[in-house]
Amino acid sequence: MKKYLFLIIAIALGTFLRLWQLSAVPNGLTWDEAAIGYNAYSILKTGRDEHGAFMPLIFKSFGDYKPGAYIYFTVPAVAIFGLNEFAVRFPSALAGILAIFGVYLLVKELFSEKKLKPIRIFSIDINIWDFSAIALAVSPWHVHFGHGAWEVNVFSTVMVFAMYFFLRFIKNKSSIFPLISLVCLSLATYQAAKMLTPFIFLFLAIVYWRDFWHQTLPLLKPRKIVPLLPFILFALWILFGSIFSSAGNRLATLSVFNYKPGISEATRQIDGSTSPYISLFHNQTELSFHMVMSRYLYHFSPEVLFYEGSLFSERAHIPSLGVLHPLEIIWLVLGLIWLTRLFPNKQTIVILGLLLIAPIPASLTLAEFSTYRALFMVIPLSIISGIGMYYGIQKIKWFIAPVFLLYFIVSVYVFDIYFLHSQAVFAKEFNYGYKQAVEIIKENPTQRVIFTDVLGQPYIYYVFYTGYDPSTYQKNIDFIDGGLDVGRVGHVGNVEFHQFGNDELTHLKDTLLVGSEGNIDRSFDITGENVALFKQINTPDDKIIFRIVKTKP
Amino acid sequence: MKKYLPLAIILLLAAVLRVVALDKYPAGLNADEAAIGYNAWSLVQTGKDEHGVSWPVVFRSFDDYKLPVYFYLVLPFVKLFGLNIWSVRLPSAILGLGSVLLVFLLVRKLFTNNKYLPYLSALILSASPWHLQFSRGGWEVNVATFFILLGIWGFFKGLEKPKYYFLFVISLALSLYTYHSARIVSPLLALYLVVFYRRPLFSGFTGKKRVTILLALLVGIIITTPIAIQLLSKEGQARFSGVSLLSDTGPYWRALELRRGHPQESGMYVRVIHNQYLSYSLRFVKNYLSHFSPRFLFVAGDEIARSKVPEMGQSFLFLAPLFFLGIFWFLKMDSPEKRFVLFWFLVAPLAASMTFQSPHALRAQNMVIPLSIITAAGLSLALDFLGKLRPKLIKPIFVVLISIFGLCSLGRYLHMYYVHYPKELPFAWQYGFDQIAAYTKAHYDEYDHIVISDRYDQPYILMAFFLQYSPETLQKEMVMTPRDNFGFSTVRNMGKYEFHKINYDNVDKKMPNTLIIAADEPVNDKAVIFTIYDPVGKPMYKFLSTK
Repeated sequence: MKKYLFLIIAIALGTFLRLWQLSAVPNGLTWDEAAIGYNAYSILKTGRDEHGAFMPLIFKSFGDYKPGAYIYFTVPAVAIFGLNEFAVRFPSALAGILAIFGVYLLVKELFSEKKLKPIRIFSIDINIWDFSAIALAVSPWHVHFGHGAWEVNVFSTVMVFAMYFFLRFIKNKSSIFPLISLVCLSLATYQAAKMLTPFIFLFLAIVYWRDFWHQTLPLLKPRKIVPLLPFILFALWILFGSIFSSAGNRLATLSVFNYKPGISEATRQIDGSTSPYISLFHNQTELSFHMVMSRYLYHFSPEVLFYEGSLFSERAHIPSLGVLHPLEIIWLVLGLIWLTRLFPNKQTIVILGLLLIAPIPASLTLAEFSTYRALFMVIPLSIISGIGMYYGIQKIKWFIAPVFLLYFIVSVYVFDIYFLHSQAVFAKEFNYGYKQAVEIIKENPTQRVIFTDVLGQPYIYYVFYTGYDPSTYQKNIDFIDGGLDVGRVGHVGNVEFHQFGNDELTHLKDTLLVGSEGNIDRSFDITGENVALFKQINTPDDKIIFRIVKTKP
Repeated sequence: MKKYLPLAIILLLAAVLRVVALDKYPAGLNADEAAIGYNAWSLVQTGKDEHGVSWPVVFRSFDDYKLPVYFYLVLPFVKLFGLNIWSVRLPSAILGLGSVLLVFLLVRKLFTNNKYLPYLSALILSASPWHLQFSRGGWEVNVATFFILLGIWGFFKGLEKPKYYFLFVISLALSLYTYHSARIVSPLLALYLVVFYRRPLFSGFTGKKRVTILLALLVGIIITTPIAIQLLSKEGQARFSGVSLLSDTGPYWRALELRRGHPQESGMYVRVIHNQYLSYSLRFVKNYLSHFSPRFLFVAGDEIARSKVPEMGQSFLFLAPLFFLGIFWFLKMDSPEKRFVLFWFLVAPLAASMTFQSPHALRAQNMVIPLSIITAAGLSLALDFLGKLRPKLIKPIFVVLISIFGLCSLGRYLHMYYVHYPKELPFAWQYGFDQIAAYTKAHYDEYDHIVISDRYDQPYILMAFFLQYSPETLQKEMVMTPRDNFGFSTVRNMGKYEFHKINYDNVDKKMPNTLIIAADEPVNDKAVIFTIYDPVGKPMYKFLSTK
């Protein structure tokens, strides 16, 4: 029991941080979360998605083609908890908790042949894997992605277990089935997995080439390979099938290599439009090289890891902080020193290799940096942090205590910011207000409802929060395709989704109008003769989101 | 002779990159350079600086109290070549070249069994955009970096021949009189060397060696004592308090704001996690780490126009993987020399992190030395590793590839520096004052007043520089304005010249017989009699007359 004490503490702490206030922080729901929830609900009730496709593997949703695994994970959660925020986020939170255990197993397996001396504190042995588990449990990045329906978080967990079974597989053939099914699952969970998963397993196979080959060779016999064939075909189908479909199309438009702005007017003016320098120094190869390299480097920049720099898009990190704990640099540096001192050894190569491979898919997309696409980095980073804690205690003994105390205080600070002070920023980023608006629609039945679509995809919030009957919805679907961009929905029942103005406000009868500040501006007389009811929905820091007018019958 | 050929080529490259067209690029002359040049000239002519102080140890200048070494370095050049841009910039360029040589010598001393490393370090430094930026221009910081390098080299040389300890002590002491940030970096480096090399330093501590070390220590104490006095004085603190991290009240208000988010604002828990100590500490951590950001080092570079070339990082982007490889090699810390270089890399941006603008390429410039050494180590490691691989062709292919990358990057950098920099950021180096001076000199007698916009920093000193305004007159006329928010003062009147913001319609138009020189302030474009264009051809200064 004592042996597992630290693991239990890590999991308990991790569980608390991920499940506490799960539905309230962040205080809203992203478009994707609402879509995942409603599609899971639709599958649960009818076996079909919102577009009426029977048990699809890839969900059309807004026209962004979501990988299906997360939605299927959500089905049981919706069955148990009902159609609400908690149910939508629960699979990710659970994956986050499992990842703590997964990292424990992975690191233990990785170092199994190295005889590492554990650290004794109060007669309890603590090992590197215990520290890595705890580092992941309190990682702000990982906690935040456990607080939302993020496919990539589930993907990371699946990968951790898949890598664990890979390490088992090279010693013991029987692990081939968990390994290959997890690899397939990872591919079905997350778009970028199509690049990341092959890279990582290729890398591992090269590092453990001799063992891997030794184990794989006997499996290639016809009798052995037959049971594996379905998995292999499934993986190949996902890997190559989507390239030619519309989902693959969308992927290509997001690629860095598709960005061809040409020569800017300013450059032409400075160099002269016929100058040889333009083709020499301002060409497309140079630009693509620069973009890929810089995007890759951004993943290792302190301005995303340890403090909030200019590279962030707000949604996926804790406001005013970087993705990691600000003092995590201490453990990372210590961990890196330990790893380099061990070099050359397989463990160092594997851990640093994972860290270096993780940002590759994200570096090929147009967005400068996305905490979402980079999330898998949190696994190698936490492992290194854990090693750093281990090395710190081993090297400077009790003198490290003040550092731990400081680390603890700053941790409290970080999670205080997350659970308490972030709500104002999250309200904007997580579409706070849709829920409240739908409540008002429910409370005030009218002949007609007009809901502005200025904040994007209002229909999904309407069907989500009203629990709109999926079979009715599928029959009357009014989806307008957006080409390469996402589409929109014209109406659901008597609720229409489009913009409106003063004209509608003064002339329509028995209508509920939900608008932004732009639709119902301050000059509109809320005590006018056509107005039966006026309500306003504000963010926690008192900025207007929706203004709602009900007109007289 | 053949032995020295690679080094000679590297030094030649370094010299060409640092000296060619030094007076024209960077395009213009900035206020600090003008102040250095003019004060040196004033000393040559009158033995006093612009404020009438004879042979000062601190130059008051714009009330920013500049340190003296660079002024006195410029002095002989001004005496020989007269007051011009070359004289102000040449000392920095020459010592920049000296730094390249010293890096070679230092690395050869530190890593004795690594054949390529000294050459690669010198080569990377010779073409480093960071080092070039501050070697080209009258930058005190570049000289401070030179003295730090010289001092450290002196120390390692001293381990064999104790008389070099004088070089160690004197050179590091001089760096303290050259640039402010050296006052934090140099003592820490010296302390590290003495503590971690105490065994070779004090072994056989008898006879001549003991006398030498004690004498060097005494010299050091004598030279540095005035600094201690200065630091306690009002002038010494003035500069720092203007730019210090603590002068930014942001973190303080942030802590208060966070407290207000809690129901019990002054509870124990709230005060432990939201207070100014934590707030400012986190800001310091942020500032410090920002200097190690790959984005800063390899992609975006500094924000300040004067310290950056458009679209360039502090180092070449293609060197980033080699830098990481080098860090990996150094992190092993299996020799005291590796530990020292790593320590320097960590200490270099400390002074810059204590100010509110971070990352700051200028204040952290000495970082370029360990950065170059680390990158070179990565390259040397890669060469060693690939050399062992079979087929034998891999290494030559790598060498060719990396050379192509290097040449392309250097070519593009030079293109950005010589073509784009003056055209995209003409304001950075206060372009055009030489032309203003030439015009006003030619028409001096036609006007009673000449009003010049103060849109860009300290126009008076630039005019004094280019007009070669008589130092005796300036010393007599000198009236400084009260300090502004950042602690700077300026001069508003200098003979017929006046410097203030142009308010054409309401004030300046009504002045009798006046030449008005406006920057971007709105004026009556039809009345413009003469225009100075920036390098890209947009109007930069407009001249109007009220005659």
